Amino acid sequence: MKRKSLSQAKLDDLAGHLFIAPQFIGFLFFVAIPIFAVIIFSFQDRNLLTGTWEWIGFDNYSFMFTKDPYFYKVVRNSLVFSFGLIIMNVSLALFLALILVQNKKGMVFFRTLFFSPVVTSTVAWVLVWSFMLQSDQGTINQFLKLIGIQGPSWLGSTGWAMFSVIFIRVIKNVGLNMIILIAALKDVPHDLVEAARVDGANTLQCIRKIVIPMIAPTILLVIIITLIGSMNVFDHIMLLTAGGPSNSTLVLAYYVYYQAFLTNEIGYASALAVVLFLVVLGLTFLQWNMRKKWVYYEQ
Amino acid sequence: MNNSQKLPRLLPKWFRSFLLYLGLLLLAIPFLFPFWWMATSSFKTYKEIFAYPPTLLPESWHFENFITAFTYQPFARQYLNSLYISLTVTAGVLVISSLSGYAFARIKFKGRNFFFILLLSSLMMPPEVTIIPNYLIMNLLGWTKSHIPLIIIPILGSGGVFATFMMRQFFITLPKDMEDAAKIDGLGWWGIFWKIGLPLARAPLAAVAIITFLNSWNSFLEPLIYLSDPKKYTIPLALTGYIDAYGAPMWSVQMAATTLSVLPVLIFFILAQQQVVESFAMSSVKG
Amino acid sequence: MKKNKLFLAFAAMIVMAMIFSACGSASDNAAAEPADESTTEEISNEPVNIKFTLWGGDAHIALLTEISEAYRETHPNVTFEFVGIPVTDYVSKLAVQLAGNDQPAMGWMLESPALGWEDAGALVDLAPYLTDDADFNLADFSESSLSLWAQGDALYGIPFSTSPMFIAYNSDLFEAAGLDTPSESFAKGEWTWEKFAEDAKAITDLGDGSIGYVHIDEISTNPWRLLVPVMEAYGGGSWNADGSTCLMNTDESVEAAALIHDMMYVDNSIVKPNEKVDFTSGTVGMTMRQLSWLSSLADVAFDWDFAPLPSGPDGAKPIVGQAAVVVFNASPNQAVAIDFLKFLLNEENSAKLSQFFPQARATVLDAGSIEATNPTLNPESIQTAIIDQIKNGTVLPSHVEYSKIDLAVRAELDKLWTTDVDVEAIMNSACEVMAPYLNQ
Repeated sequence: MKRKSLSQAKLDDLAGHLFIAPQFIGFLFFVAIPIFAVIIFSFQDRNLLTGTWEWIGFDNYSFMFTKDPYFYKVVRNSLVFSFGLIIMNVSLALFLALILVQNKKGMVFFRTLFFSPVVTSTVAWVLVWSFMLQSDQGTINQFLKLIGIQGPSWLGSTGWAMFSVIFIRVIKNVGLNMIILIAALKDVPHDLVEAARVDGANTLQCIRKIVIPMIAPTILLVIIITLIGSMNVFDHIMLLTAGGPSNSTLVLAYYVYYQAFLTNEIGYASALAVVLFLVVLGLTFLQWNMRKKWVYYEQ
Repeated sequence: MNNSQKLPRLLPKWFRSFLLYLGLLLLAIPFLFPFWWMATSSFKTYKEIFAYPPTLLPESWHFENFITAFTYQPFARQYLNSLYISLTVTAGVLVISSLSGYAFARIKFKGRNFFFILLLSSLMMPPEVTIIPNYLIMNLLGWTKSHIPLIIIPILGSGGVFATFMMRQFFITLPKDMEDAAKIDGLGWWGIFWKIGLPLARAPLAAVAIITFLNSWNSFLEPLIYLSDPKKYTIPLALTGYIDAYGAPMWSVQMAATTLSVLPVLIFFILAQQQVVESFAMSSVKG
Repeated sequence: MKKNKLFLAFAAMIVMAMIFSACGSASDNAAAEPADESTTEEISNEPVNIKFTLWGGDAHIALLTEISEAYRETHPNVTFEFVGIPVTDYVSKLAVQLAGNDQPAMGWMLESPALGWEDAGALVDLAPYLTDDADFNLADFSESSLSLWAQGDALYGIPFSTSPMFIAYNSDLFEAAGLDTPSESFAKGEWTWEKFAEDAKAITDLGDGSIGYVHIDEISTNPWRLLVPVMEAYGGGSWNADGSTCLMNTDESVEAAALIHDMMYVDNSIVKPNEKVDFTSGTVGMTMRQLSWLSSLADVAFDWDFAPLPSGPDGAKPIVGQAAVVVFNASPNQAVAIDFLKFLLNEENSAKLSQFFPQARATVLDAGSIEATNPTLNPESIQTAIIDQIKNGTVLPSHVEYSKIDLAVRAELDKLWTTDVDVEAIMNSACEVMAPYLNQ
């Protein structure tokens, strides 16, 4: 018998490593090596068009932090976008989930309805919205006009553009978070809620004191998923605003693309990419630590 | 404050239900209206799209927009491209993520936590970060004019990691005694995975499949960088290509193509929505 | 020139690919080095595929294919692949393709990034091949038409389109508003930017949803094409000829920008940013366009014509949009590409291109080729709005650092696109953000 020749622990090691091998080899080639390359490139003055490069040490970084007129604005915009998205998306998802989790007629229908943008292609979604959000001709503002409101230029004014991009994105993706939260809500033990009811708690108190803490781990998961997704916003920005007006929607993801493929500065774009990576890592770390403060029921 | 909470109780029950449904319907407008606009615009003339006041239904139905969608670009070909790329990516991710998700959940092996955290860290990484070196690598391998980067990177790169995470979250909930029984029966890890683990994992596999398919179907940045030949385009890239030589969008044709790209997925979802929602509910994404 | 391992390996890949597919001779495979001594090189007879990038539509590709078929009669070993790239992504996609392993050999090049690409060494210097070629007759091109493409003795592109911007107008709307058409105003010598603004207002004031003017593209993503002609006519401009001084904050430029701003936000007679309105819908009085675009008016339901750009206090300042055919340094098939370029832009084929693109070749222009290939257009308008404008036209601004200037200045100009603004302050800050990129 072959199995006798290996101890169970060794066998486990072998099996485990074999099972994760395909993914890990992929990770090496398409994640680890590229990250390493990006870090190397970030110390170079490298041009896509000419194919030339030279070592310039920390020049890209010092330019970024001291001279680049957009960098701080871009970082701020990225943070505004991420936090705005998380707040709007998660609170709307939670609101919808709390309503639609009820066993009432038609709730399944509404779940389907709110989920349907999730299965729609982003480009299609964004194209339609860019048309509907025009300042005079747009459907939204024409409806507002009917009730006597002059709507703003949603995508064309610095005050509204970021909000509009976030809004479009929230409507597109909130369904997924909603479904995940509904699933979690269904697992909240009924007797707990009933007991609170008997103690005289109203609906809001029940939700705040019992339901939310029970599903806190799921909320955290939803927040992290949304945060990660929020960095992946290139298509929205490119097709809706191209970073404008007045750079008010210029976020890191788009700025990296701009520097790399429009001004051909691969070296500088790489330095920006490194910063982008660090920002996401930092935010995730922050949330992971914050969970201790408000996640009561860790599974 | 007390008033606002007492008010609903004063109202008759049917009226409260009515308010609930009315509220939900109003809330649904921004979710539904884009579909309506997309579908009706695809039958309108270019001029009618810009008409004021806007028309809810086309004045006359112009099916030629759909024909133009196929003649202006090789749209049928692009459709097939998207379909086969997304299906291949989905299949690949299912295989890889169920294997490693299972290992991370059930097998105690050396470096398990280290590998898992390493993988998870790549989850945080936006694709913009690695697109440049990935492009150069693909270039080196001579794959930049093909679909290979669009297939291989989502399967093997950070895209598949979330799937692994989901699979692990599911497998970790399985009771341990099932495995022990199987081991007594002489099954190795592969046998346990294949005969016991995987058959139980239908729901998370479905959830992973849906998410992966949608991500690949919608992906925009990667095709934008890697593809240059319209015959090789995928749908999202094709949709942005309905512009004339001066950069002006051909709205009605674009909307016809958009409708065609959205409809099948939407219909599939509506038909399967019970299973889709169930799979998310059961796949323990929830924690 | 330093080359890293990736690049070497990449070059090796190309060599291997060539060996395997047995295409391209060793002498063609010059990689990224300019082939400066190969002017007399014989063009090989081995099969060569020329990938040609452009941003045009089907009609343009059909015409190019027709010309390339004629070329193939004498060069059956050459095949052509015309790749259309949407104009909005053209420059970035081209850069990516050139860094890739399936480089285009030649293609169209826009004016605004031209200087940057020349400076980066991405384009082949055509001067050694063309200056002494009697058949090609480079002298037929006026010096001004080549100025954007010439750097000292080098010549990086040959314009296939030297197309003046003009005002296309909806005659029905002008009639409804009881106005002289722009052509009539021009004939009377009254066609100024102020008149343009008055007419646009009158059409908007019809109150039937009509609007005076729509810009050629999204004004917030490309404000240059509207502002530059007006600023120049007022005696200002974007930057001076050698790209060292910003001119956008001069009194003249500020006055011009204020005119456009007030049209948009006081008169509401210019379609605002992020509005999707198109001239072809028939609800717009005027737009600024070029010859090739007129074909998209073939089946509109209204009467239209076109007139030169209005003049300003500083006189008439025609603006010419230029696009050139260039050969890419990264291509292994340079020799064949250059040979085809000579054929494509020779006198005979230039005349054919006139159907869409006014030619810089004097002989072709004088021979009435535009009228001949565009029989439906008003010949008088062709003369006044196109041919007369080509000779004195200045090209839209280009700069080595164009993409950076564009990003910086656009962000400032975006502030113009709202009500109640201090135009002068905005133009001043446009100059401020531009300063770091200007030539010292």
